[in-house]
Amino acid sequence: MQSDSELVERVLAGEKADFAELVRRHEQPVRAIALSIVGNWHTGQDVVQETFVKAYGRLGQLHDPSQFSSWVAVIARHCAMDAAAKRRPSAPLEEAGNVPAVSNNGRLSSEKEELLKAVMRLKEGEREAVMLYYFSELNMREIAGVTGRSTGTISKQISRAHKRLRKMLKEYE
Amino acid sequence: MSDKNEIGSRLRALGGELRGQGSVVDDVMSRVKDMPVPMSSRPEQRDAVIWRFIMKRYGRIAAVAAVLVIAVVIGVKMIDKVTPAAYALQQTIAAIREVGFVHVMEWSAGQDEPLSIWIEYNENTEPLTIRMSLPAWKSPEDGAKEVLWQDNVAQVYVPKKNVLLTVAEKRLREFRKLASSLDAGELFKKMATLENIGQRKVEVTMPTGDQDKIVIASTGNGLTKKFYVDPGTRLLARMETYRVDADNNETLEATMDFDYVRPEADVFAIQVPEGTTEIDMVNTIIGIPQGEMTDEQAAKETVRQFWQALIEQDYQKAGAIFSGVPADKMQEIFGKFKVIRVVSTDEPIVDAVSKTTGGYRVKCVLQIEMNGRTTQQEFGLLVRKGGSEMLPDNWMIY
Repeated sequence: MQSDSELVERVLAGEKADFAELVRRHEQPVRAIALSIVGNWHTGQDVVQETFVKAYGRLGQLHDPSQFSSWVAVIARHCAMDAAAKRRPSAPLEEAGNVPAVSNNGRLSSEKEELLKAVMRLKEGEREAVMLYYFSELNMREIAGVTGRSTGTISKQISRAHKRLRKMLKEYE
Repeated sequence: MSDKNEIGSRLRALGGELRGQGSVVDDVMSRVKDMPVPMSSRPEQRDAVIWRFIMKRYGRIAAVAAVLVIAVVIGVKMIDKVTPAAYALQQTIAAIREVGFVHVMEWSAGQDEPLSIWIEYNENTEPLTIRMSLPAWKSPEDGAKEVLWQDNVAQVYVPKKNVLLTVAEKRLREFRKLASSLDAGELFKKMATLENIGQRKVEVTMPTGDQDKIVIASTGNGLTKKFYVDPGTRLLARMETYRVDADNNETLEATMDFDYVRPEADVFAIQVPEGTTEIDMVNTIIGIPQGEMTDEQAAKETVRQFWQALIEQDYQKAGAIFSGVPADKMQEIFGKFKVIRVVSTDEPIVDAVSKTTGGYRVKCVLQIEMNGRTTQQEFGLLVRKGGSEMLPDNWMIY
């Protein structure tokens, strides 16, 4: 399997189709970042697209191609924050009265839908940590790298998120 | 299964299901299909498109110089087909030597303010002085900037922060080297190679009734650059950059207007208002030496010395570690509270910001006194090596 660096080099050399593999590899972490910030599946999908289109346009500015994953994560955070600011300029997610639309075409079972809604109700930092850990399968160190928080903080946030989720899910029952 | 594990398992299962849905690969690829192939800023890619390489790596000013040379060389070569190449090159170089000054204004689509560059050349076509006025849209975070480069030292004035930085800016130093070594003949050969291998298509249109300039259009990689050359002076008057879509529709992205008149003397001097914070990174010792310490140890030691200086209210020393900020400015920023002691210092970490800029973030908990109250506060400082170009082994906070 080609490394991210090799794929980046190939794209820069004109092999545009290889960018698809980079998108395939990194879209899950990017989606987790997007969803954790915008809290809406459809907007999140738009952010994921926008992130990769921007990344493609700026690929020549990536000085260390082996750092593609953290570089694209930073772009994703900026895109998501822009999208979140446009969608709901003031109401924080956890204080919003209505639960954000998270369903992806209604394909999830009701149990999973409820769990996803509960995740979306977490505080932003906890939500981001949970999504990167469970949905994107990043380890604590990688999450620390993406979010700029220490591994200790990430661990605490996930632990707190567990407690909150248990409480929220009991309330739903 | 415990509650904790159950939540974890359910989250993993949900993640697995989400991962299997909603891929954006096709959507992204259909959107990038018509975009030009991105060009690397790294040197190994430079032969692909020489002027884009120069623009990315050495900055806009170098690109201007390169474009100037390339365009004129091409112009002379294409226009005067009976002239031997050697003579044409000599003529071109002579034309640039005679110029002495160039002023370039770059206008980008959707922006009202241009980017302005003035370059003064010596008799060998080497830049002596460069002045740039960068509009705010070029740097939304810092705002507009005025840059003056002379004798390997650059002064950068940032009105939004009212700061004047004096730096031995590496890229500008490299630029000078590059600009001095620009070999018109080599550039022309590379341009001809690109044309021969089909990466560029070059068309030359001679002046007509409406158009008094020679127009050289160079197309490739989704871009067309049109160079307007004065047939009398053989100097570049204007350059236009168009993005070309799949149907060959052109959208104007940027124009550069060139003139070669000696500017007013004050162009090559930066005037700053009273009260400007001046940070001289050339003549001030900034940061602490690494010595035998590892990078992590040096990062931690830098932070320790910084807080110790503040505990002792030695703003001169603290400022020297803090990127060379003057003592009075440091007192203004950090004098609002008193640092009593450092309660704890975390191990240095690489986070999203420090990964981009190099170095680490070091988090500390301090006991501070402010407005008569003693509290504990967490601070996260960014530390890196080489921020001071004069002392590249020193570590500093930035």
